[in-house]
Formats: sequence, C-alpha cells, structure tokens
Amino acid sequence: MVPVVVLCSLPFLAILAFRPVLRRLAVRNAVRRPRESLLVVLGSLLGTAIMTGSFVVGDTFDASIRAGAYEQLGPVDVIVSASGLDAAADLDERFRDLDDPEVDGVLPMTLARAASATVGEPRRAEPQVQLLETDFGRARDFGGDASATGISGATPAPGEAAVTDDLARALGVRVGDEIEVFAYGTSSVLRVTGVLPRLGVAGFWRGPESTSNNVFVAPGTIARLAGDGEGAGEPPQSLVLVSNRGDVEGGAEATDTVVPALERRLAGVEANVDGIKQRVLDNAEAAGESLTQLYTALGTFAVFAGILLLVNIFFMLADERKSELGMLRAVGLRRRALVGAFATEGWCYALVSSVVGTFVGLGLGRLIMAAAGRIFSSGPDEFRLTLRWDFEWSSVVLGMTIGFLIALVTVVVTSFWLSRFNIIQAIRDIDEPPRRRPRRRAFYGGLALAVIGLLMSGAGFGSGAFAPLVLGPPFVLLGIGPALARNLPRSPVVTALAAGTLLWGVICVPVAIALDAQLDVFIFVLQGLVLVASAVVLVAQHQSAIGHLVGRLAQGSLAVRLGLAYPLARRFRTSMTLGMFALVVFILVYVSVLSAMFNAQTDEFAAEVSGGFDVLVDSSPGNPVDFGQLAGEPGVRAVAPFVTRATEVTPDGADEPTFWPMTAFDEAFVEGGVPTLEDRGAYATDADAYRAVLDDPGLAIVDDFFLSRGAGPPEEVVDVGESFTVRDPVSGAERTFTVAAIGPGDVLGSGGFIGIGAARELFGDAAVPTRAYVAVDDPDAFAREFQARTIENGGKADPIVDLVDEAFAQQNQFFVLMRGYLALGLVIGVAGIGVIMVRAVRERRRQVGVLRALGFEAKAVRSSFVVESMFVAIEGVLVGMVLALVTAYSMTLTDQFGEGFGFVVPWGTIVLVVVGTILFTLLATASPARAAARIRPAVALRIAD
Amino acid sequence: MDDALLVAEGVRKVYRTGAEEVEALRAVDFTVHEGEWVSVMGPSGSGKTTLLNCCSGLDDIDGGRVLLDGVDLHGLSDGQRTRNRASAMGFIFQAYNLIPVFSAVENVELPLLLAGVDAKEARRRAAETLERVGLGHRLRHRPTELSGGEQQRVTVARALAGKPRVVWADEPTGALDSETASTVMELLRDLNREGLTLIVVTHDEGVGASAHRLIRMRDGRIVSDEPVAKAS
Repeated sequence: MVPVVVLCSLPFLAILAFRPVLRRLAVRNAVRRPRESLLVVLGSLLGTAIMTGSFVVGDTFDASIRAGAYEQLGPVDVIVSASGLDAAADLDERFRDLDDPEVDGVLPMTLARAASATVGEPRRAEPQVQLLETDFGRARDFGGDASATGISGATPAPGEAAVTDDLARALGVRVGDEIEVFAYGTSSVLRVTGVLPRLGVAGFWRGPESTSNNVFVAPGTIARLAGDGEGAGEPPQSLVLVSNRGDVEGGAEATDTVVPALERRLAGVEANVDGIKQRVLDNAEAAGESLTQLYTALGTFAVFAGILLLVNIFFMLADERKSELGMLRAVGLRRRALVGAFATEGWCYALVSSVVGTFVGLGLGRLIMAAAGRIFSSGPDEFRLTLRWDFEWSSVVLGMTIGFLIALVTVVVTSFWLSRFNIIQAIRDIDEPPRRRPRRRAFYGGLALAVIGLLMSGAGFGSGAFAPLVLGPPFVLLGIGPALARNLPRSPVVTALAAGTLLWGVICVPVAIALDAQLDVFIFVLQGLVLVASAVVLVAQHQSAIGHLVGRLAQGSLAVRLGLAYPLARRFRTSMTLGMFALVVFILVYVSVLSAMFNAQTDEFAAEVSGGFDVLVDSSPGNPVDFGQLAGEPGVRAVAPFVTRATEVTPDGADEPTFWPMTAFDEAFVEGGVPTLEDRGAYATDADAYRAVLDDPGLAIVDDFFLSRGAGPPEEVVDVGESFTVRDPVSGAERTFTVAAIGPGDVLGSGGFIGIGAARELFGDAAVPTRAYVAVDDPDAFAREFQARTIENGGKADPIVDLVDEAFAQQNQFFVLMRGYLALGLVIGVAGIGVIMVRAVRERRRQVGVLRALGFEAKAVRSSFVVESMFVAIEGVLVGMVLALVTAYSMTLTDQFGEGFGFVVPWGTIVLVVVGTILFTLLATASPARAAARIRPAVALRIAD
Repeated sequence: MDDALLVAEGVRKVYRTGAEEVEALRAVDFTVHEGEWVSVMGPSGSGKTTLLNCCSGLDDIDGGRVLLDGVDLHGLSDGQRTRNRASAMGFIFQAYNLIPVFSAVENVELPLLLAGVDAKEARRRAAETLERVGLGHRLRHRPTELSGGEQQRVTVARALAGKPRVVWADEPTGALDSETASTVMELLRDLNREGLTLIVVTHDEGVGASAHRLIRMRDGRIVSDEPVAKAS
C-alpha cells in the first residue's frame, strides 16, 4: 500500500522539487492560514479515520476469534473422531505410528459430555462440561511445545480430576475441593488435584462456547460411568488429536494435505476427520471481514459527507482566490500548472489528514471495541466472545491509503473542475453565467449513461443483483437529462427527473426484495446515496421558493434575508453542505427507525417462535433430562423433545462446510403448536410443512440467517427447494436435505429443523434428546423450580419470551453501537459547517464592512451568519429525516420481515438527533458568527480597498 | 457655525502594528456645512481615507471629537453609532462594495430597511432612486451582471435612498473610465445642487475641482482648506 501512496504522490513531489512557482503557490497557500488549514485537515481526516476504524474492528474480531484457536485448540489442528468407546483402541492403533512429514504429534483422547456440581450445600452447578481422558505425559509432548498444551502435573488417578480454571471459577473450587460429575444417569465424586489454564490441550473444546469447562479424569472413568449408568446420554467420543508441523496458526496450513492422508488411514472405520483449526481460523477471517464490511459500508455515508465537505472547501478556496487565479492564468500560467498548484496544496492536506486520520481511526476502533466488548460478553455462552483489542499494521496502512486516495482523488478532480474558468471574469471576480443549454458533450455523455443505465436495469431486474437494480434506473434518468434540457425548460426537466429518481430510491429496496435479490448492507448505502442525491437536486432546484417562504415566515427580518441570500445565491455550495447533513441524518434516522421497528416485534416474534410452547429447556447431552417423565408432571401441558447437535453443513455448490446446529423434532412438536413460518413453501399450513419434514427424512426447515456468517441483513444462503448436506462431525455420516419452508429467525440456537427419523439415521446413538419446548401454566415459576431440581442433568430452563427479549436487547445494543458509529458523520457535518462559516466570514469581510457602514448592527451581522448555517443545517436534517422515515415505511410494504412488521417512529431518538445536530451546528457557527460581528467596518473596507 | 453639519475637532488616529505606531491623523480640525461639497485630496498615505473613516464613525479615534448635528459620534455606543449611520449617512466606495447576492434594487433598499422603512415603501423608493440614476431597467440585475459604471450608479443610489444628511464618497470615480466617471460626477453635482452634503475623498483634480471647498492633506495634517475657485 505504501508504494501506492508514493506512486500517487510522485507528480506532487515532482512539482515541489522542480516547479518553484507552483511549489510556492501550493505551500504558501496551505500554510497561509494555519488555523483554517487545520480545520480543512480535520474535516478530511475523518475519511481515513472511518476506514482505519472499520479495519481495526475487523482485525479485533478476527484476533479475538483466532485467540480461541490458541486457547481451545493450541497444537490441535485436526481431530479424528468416532462415536463410542469401542473405536478408541482401533484409532490409537491406526495412528500411533503415523509417519507423516506434515504431522508432529498424535494424541488419543476420550470425551464425554456431562454436568458437574460442587459437593455439599449450597451447590453450584455447571451444566455443560467435557469429561476428558488422556495421558498427560503424551499430551505435554504433543506438538513439540509443552507450554502451548496447557497440561501440567500427572495424569489424574481414579477419583481425581484436573479442572480448567474456567470450570474452577464457575464452581468456585480449588485444588483439594471435591466436585461431582453427572453422566449417563450416574455420578462420580472427584477430588480436584490440579487447575489447568484454558490453553491448548487443557483448553480443548469442540463446541461454539468461548469457555472450556473441562474435567480431566483418570483413564477408564468415562467407561465406568457409561457402563454403570442406566440413563440415556450422548455416547462418548473416541478421539485422536493431530498436530501439524508448525506453530498454532502455521500448522493449520497443512490441513488440506493432512486430512486426506488421515482419511486414507481410516478406511473401513466409521469415523470423521475434522480440520478444526483451519475452520476456526477461516471463521475468524470471515467474521472479521464481515464486520469490516459492515462498518465500512455504514462509514461510507460519513466518507461521502467528508468528500462533499472537501469539494465545498475547495470551491470556497477557489472563489476566494478567483482574482489571483485569473491573474495567474493571465500572466501565462497554463491551466495544467494551475491544476498542479491547486492539487499539490490538496495533496498536502490529504497527506497530513491521512496520517493524523490513521491515529484517530485507531482510537475510534478502540472506542467501538470497548462498547462492542460489553455487548459480546453478554448473552448465551455459545454467542459470547471476549474481544481483544488488536490490529494488523497492514490494515492501518490500508486505511491510511484509502483515506489518502479518497482525499487526493477528490481534490484532483475538484482542481480540474475549478481550473475551467474565464480569465477575464475571474480577474474581475464575476460569476460565470449559467449555461442555457447543456453542452453537446453532456448530451452525448448523457445518452451513453442512459444506455448503460438501461443495460444495468435489465441485468438488475433479470438477475436480482442489487447494485445494477438500484443504480440502473437513476442512470437512465440522469442520462436523458441533458437531452431533455436542450429542448425543454431546465427547471421542470430537473424537477421531474429528480422526483423520479427520488421515488425509485424509496421503492428500490422493496422491489429488490420482491425480486428476491440478495440483500447486502451495501444496498442500503446505494439507496441512501440515490435518495439523498436526488432530494438535494430537487431542493436545490426549488431553493429560491423555499427561501422566499422562510423569508416570509420571518416577516422580512433583515438578518434572515441576508442569512438566506448567500445559501440561495450559491446553490452548488449550499447543495454540498445540504447533502453532507442529509446523508448523515438519513442513515442515523433510518437505522434508528429500523431498530425501533424490529424491537416492536418482540412480543409478536416471541409468539411466532414459541408456537404453542412457553419454556425452552436444555440439559447436558451426557446426562439429559428424562423428557417422558417431565411430560407427566403436574402443570406441564406438553413437552416437545429435541435432538440438537452441532454439524457440518454444506449448501449445494459450496466447497467448505459451515458449523451449524441442527435440531430434530418429533410428533409432539407438531401437536403442541409449531412456530409460525415465514415461507411455508408448497404447504397449506405451517403444521403441514412441519409434518412433511417429520414424515420425509430428506426435508428441513431453516431460517433466513441459516449458515449466515456475516453481520447485517440475512444472507439467505439456501431458499425453499434448495439443498444442503449435513455431516456428523463425530461419525462422519452424511445426509442431504431439501428446504421445505423458511421458519422465523433463529434466536434460540436451534439451527435448522429436521425430523427425528432423519436425526436417528444421521446421528445414530447420539440422537439423544437434550432440549425441549415445554408448555406450562406458569413459565417463570417452572423455569426457577426446574433448574433447582435438575442440577444433575445440567438442567436449564428459560421462558421463551425472556430469551427472545434477551436476543432483541442484544440486537438493540448492536444498533446503538452502529448509531454511535454513524454519529461520527455528524462530527463531519458540524466540523464542516464550522469550516464553511469561518471561510464565509473571511470571504465576506468586505461585504460585512459595507453592511456595518450602511448601518447594519453587529448583532444583526451575527444573526445573519447563524441564520445562514441554521437554514442549511435544518434543511439537511429535514431532508435526511423525511427520506429515512419514508424509506423505512416502504420496508413495511414487503413481507420480508414478517406480516406484523409495522412502522414505528422512535420520536425520542429522532428528536435527539435533530436537536443535537442543530445545537452542535449552532455551537460550530457561534465563533465565526461572533468574529463576523466583530469586524470593524473601516478595517474591513481599508483591507479590501 | 450655526449651519455646521459636521464638526471635527483635534481628531487623532494612530495605527499600531506591533511596536510601531503610525499617526495617521494629527489633530485634524474642519467643519462641513449643510449642502456643502467638500473634496479631500492629498498623496497616498496622507490620511484621506482615514479622515473619512474616522469622521463618519466607521472607525474609532484616539483623540478629539466629531460632531454630527451636534452629536458626538464617538461618544455613542457602537449600536447607536450604527443607527446614526443608517439614518444620517450614505457611502460611496471606489470598489462599489455592493452585496453580490442582492439585486440592484435589493442593494439600494438595504439602508431604507435598516432605517425601519416598511418593506413595500423601501422597494418603491429604491426603485425610484435607481430610476433617478438611470438604472430603472436594471432593477433585478445582480452586481456581477452590471458594468462598472452601472455598479457605481447603484452605489450612488444606495447612498441616496435613505435621504441622508451627508454622503461620504471614497474615490467614487477611481475605478471608472473617464466617460462613465463624468456621468457619475454629473449625477453627484445634481444631487449636491438639490442640497445634499457631499464629502469626497479623491486623487482626481477634476473631481476635486467640482467641490465648493478643497481640503488638502499631507502626513495626517490638513495643509490647506480653501474654497474652490470656479471657472467663470
């Protein structure tokens, strides 16, 4: 990336080195007014800051998930697993003498799921525990780096246990204390002889949880529990952990070579080889990229606001220096040289702002992660993530480069634009008269754009690809503009085309949804840009009428009249400022309204998800609750037991599987009342769809977020009629399913729903029901009482309404975080208006002097500047707010988010955004307005004359 | 002194730039009578424009006093002085100094509105005044759409619209070609004949010679203050 910066800087460095006149012009103008240059840098650095911040957010997520690879896998790169204990000896035999140059260690291990609790009252329990058996000596040698395994001490003897510090903390036990573990309907009391860190083999954990509640026990303990126990439970797993050559991350690179080699050795054995490390690292990368994409997309609004500010500032600079630029051209400076001087000055700002912006971006990323850390450390353990602030320098350099390029391209393009002036008019400081008819060049360019727009529209409507769909029609309208304006009056043409584009901007997302287009967060970015651009053009076209109306309302106040005169006269500059505010307020209000609309769905969504049930019950797979017995208890109206298991799911056409839970249900679920489907496919009723899945082991019901790894809108990886393959990561058994219907959003961690018959075929003995939906009279009382009496089963019960509330609360926190990030755009808006007003005061010094000479009082001058900035800010805020409300309302016209997805306006938040924006704008204007009021007429006139 | 409109007594003005002090006006005394046309001439840096600024109340003074209709201008607050300018003075500058975002008529009506004249009446009077200076057909044009002479005539109209007691003009023809300059001068002459008090700062001997009195300045001092001998 650094070479890109250097390469782009070469022309400017050449100017600085070899063109003394241009150097003088550029550098002296840049340092002429240091305070204002500082403001320009501040205004333009936010682009870099937002880019860098977005990348740092991605890096932090990546690193935080990657940390799981160190803590919960360490040297473990691949797992060979088989269901049951019988395969253990065979696996050990097959891999003991593994001589693979890519492998530097194999370690047999036995795993069983269990629950645990302290001994004696009051009991503290941990429902999800792994019982592990392995030889500690071999474990320390595993992978060649004993310190990375986390294993210390001797292998526990019978009656002893070494526990991880996660479990010790959860149970509040230390070395010497006793714990009781429950599995297969029996239990065993163990004395804690060691506490191990969550690291490597000691922290080995196969589930999605971020903590490792491991109990290392003496070899034979699991066999004894499984043999003695009479209760059901997921069978133990016989494992062989494989370490590839290389360090924690380097080892994973050999996975693609090692896995096939291991699979060849497994010929004839029902077992699975899982390249777990590579998968975790891939997930980390995908999650990081997804978060980066989300924040970059949202940050685009602020970046565009920054670009508009930069263009505005450069236009102000050019206006201010119009006479001197004209004079320079008159004395022989070529247009290209003038562009060079202007662009070199911009290059100075871009360079400084990108460097400073990088550091601001790091701070920004840190702030976002501090806030996100609180969100991700709450909620169910399987969704929990301890965020570790981290970043790659390459990301920082990338953020800096992108920010630098954005600023540089903006200033270079603006410089070319500004260099096109009439020398005499510039010298005489006369405004260029507007063209009556568009140039022939614009006419042909417009036609070309219209053709491109038509092609894009065709492609968009045909394929449902959102970018051509959203941009195609506006391109057509924009393209035919010059042709129409050559033959018809300009104002009605512009009004009609802008209104048409605006209308399309409002309905494009519902149309995209209706066409089944893949929703991406960038669709909202494009929609926002189309909406704001067309609205700003529309407002600019009718700015005089708006100003006239405001002037009338102000009853001819001179300060108001003067305050409005400048924004009305300088339409282009006003439009830039207007667009800046409208963009930022649009996305802020839009996200707020969507957030409120989703939140308002909580009750309805809870009812949809729960069907005829009230409580979700979970228990340890090693010692599950007897759901048959539970169904007979007083107060319990119905119980629908589920088999839930983490699986590898590969949609048709994909190469890599995604780890995703699958839940199997039986007849009791259908009879008790199924969740409401979003798309019931070919079935007449929701119950029919579930019954079809129950009857046909090749069918499944999934939700829109099924297999989505990214943040933002649902990815809809598979739709009704599409297929995917599910593989049991323990046995390696596979089965293909076709999506029969789309269910409600999965907030309870069920994943995809399949019939119990399919689960038995796929999971065999491991198809043990561990969770259930329960219908009871008093969900809260049942949940409290249930947990207290099922410690041995790792019982956990929560009213479904509470779980939905919790999920929505977490989602809401995420929205709040996004709003906080988006509010950064307001910083640009407010800082921008400050810069613009400071420049406006300087630009109009002489005019203020004249006004003061004519009898305009100081306070009226001050008021006129305040009116000017407030007019533009309020107009921008209103445009952004109205667009956001209309667009959010348009979303209710689709059934994408359920039939009950209603229009809700969070007035409190909106008032906060509006009042906050206006208040900060007022504050930003206060200083320049005061400075204007302090201008002494004689001094202003003397300087000018 | 009974009909003295403006009296300047011992007016001093010092410009300070860092440690350096430049005395731009050194105890200047002069009087302007109602209906009089006084021209102020002198070489660059002699203090002509400073005299205009200080005596019109645009700038503060460091000594002495300026009485307009017996009122000490520099004894007034900034607000009072501003209101006084709005009601009693008009200004014509070399660089026109029109407000670029206002049309000709809007520029001219500005002092009227500042003086509290009703908006409709202000517009009528502004249009009338522009008509008078020969710009009745250019009411809606913005300054950038007018020639230099037209802009200066708008400036004259703006200075006159409020029917001021005195009009201050700083090099009113300095930026104009000779033909346009003579048109503007003729206009000023007509207005003065109708009783308008004019104080004109100029380099132009021809403009100076049009006045009733000519004040010559050098190094911040009035070196001569004499009636202008009219050619018969």
